[in-house]
Amino acid sequence: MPIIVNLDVMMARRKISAGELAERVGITPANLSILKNNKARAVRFSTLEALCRELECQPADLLEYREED
Amino acid sequence: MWNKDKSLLLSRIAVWIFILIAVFSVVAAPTLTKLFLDFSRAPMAGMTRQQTLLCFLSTEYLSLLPAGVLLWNLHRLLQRIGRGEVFVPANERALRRISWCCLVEAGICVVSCLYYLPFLLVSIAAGFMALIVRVIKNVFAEAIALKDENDFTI
Repeated sequence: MPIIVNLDVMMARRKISAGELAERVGITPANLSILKNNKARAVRFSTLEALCRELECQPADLLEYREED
Repeated sequence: MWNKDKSLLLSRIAVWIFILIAVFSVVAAPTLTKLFLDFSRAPMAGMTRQQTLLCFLSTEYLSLLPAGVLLWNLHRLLQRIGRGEVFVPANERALRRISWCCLVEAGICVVSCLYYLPFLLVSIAAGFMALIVRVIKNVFAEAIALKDENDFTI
């Protein structure tokens, strides 16, 4: 998938653990792991909104488009 | 009160009844076929009684092979549904095998029409069943893809 989720980068910048972020966003740690490991097929706007709110960032900070080789 | 668990149990009981019938057929086929030939006066394309008996038994025993595979797959399918695993690739594969078994049965019956024409009806029924199961398999494939998409939407 050419869409990369840079969640781990933002989490490192904000110094927040996966468990804590999952709890604050309101998703399970398993689902956060799917998102973090680029296994997700789609992201709901409500999830994206909660992630941006908790990580104090913009959607573009979390999502990146990279052309496939 | 009727519910889906009882419905599933009924389906599993029905499958087991058919498995028992299949096992009974293995043992009782010669006797039952002889009885059928004694009572039926259908013309058998100028064959002797022994030849006719042999043809019927060949059809019956050949049919039991795909029937056994079909029933086993049906049993496993119901087991998985009972565990809550409905839209999984294993069920799609089971339905595909069931569909092929129906088609093989239809083929056996078509060949058997050469000596006993009423097998044509069984063949059409089996072919139609193969088609229905194949459509259900296609629906399952789509449902599995949708479930996969849904499971990975965060």
